[in-house]
Amino acid sequence: MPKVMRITAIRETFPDEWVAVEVTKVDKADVPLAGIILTHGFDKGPIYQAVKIYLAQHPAARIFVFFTSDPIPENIEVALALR
Amino acid sequence: MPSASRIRGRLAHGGVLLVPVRVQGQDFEFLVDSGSAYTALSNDLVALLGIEINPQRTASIAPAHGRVVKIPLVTITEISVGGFRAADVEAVVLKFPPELKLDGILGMNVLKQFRITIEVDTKTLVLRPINK
Repeated sequence: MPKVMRITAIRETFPDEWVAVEVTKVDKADVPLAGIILTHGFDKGPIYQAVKIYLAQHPAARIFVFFTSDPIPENIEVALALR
Repeated sequence: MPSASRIRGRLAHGGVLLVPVRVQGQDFEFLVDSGSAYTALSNDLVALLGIEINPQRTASIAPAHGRVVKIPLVTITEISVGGFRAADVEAVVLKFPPELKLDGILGMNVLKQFRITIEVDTKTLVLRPINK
């Protein structure tokens, strides 16, 4: 049986990786709290590809895709202004 | 519909807030950017969700540094933040630098429907709908 993990535990278990989970629990604000890991890895491309295939097979699934560590490297400052 | 929503996120380098955003039924982490007029999606995310790009439909964007550029403008059929849903929301399509592990930006075209509070200490975005 697939193992449900809390999102916080997934971040600690798979640092610096992209992860896709099928969401099993959300909080009052509809924020994902836990899920079953579908795939994980260091490159986003294969993760997205796997999600696309999974959604084709399970169109009702709710997937959360996220990068486990800080998405902004320490040597880069983000200054975005899209006007 | 709730009167307010407290969306627990996380802080990235530089103190910017990331929160989960549900786009067309699926969840991704977006950077909250009150300085951005538009919500933005990465080109990878647009491809994943099968959102159509019309080359004739563009937005002129003035980045913080550099020249005004034209980039694709798409329509998100449904976006949900903190349980608040919006339909047919416009978003620009960006190719983020590979160093940034981002899927999107939550901009003012969505946030302007709310009184927004960013609680840095609790890493929380608070949305209160504006009664019109």
